[in-house]
Amino acid sequence: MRILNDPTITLLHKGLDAQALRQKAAAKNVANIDTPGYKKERVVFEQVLDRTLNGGATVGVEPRVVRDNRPSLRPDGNNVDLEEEMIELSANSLMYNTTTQCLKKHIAVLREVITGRR
Amino acid sequence: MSDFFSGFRISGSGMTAQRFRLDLLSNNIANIQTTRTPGGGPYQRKMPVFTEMLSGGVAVTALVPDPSSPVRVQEPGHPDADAKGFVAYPAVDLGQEMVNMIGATRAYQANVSAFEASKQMLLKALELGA
Repeated sequence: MRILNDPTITLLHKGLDAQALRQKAAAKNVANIDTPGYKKERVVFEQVLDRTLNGGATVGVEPRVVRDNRPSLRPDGNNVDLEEEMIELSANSLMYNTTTQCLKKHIAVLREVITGRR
Repeated sequence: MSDFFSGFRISGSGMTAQRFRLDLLSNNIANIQTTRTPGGGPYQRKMPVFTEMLSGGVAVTALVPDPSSPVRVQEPGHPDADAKGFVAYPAVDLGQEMVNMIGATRAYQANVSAFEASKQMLLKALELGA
């Protein structure tokens, strides 16, 4: 077992990166809720990660910001939906909490391995 | 985001739909006296059509004009009066719109409550083993 250089930590780290970026994107969308013609931004990460993991590799998976160009019922061409963004922010901060919990527990295990249980 | 949060998005779609409904109700009330529209004739009250989405949640998929015939009021001096002095006003019933408005507000709040419940459940799950 690889204790240091463990892929779990790398993956959780990437997850945190993606969630931080997603929080930024949602905040940007809310900030631009009244900007005429603005199209919302989304972060693509999980699907790419899943595909890469099935291929057995963990390198090269980076979260990506994509623009959602779908039209809306709004006459100003803006497609930001306030409720959707608030839910995105909420879900994402929970996901961030979950990832940090995983990381914390993983590090606790490593600490136990290093120091030994007394 | 993972399907873990589908409950969140379902509640969100409900909120979006109810807010849209409230916009329509406001439009109906604002146009209660409107006798001129781009399509000609008095304003027609609009109703939203809610459709269940395959992925869960709801979406407004159509705006349907109320087919009720306009209310004709005897008002000969009005520029839009017909030859007999009748003006066609929109068939908007203020009482009905107000009742719908309460319904939309309450439905919005219900969606917020459902969302809060999902969130509390997930927060509790995070405390497991802590």
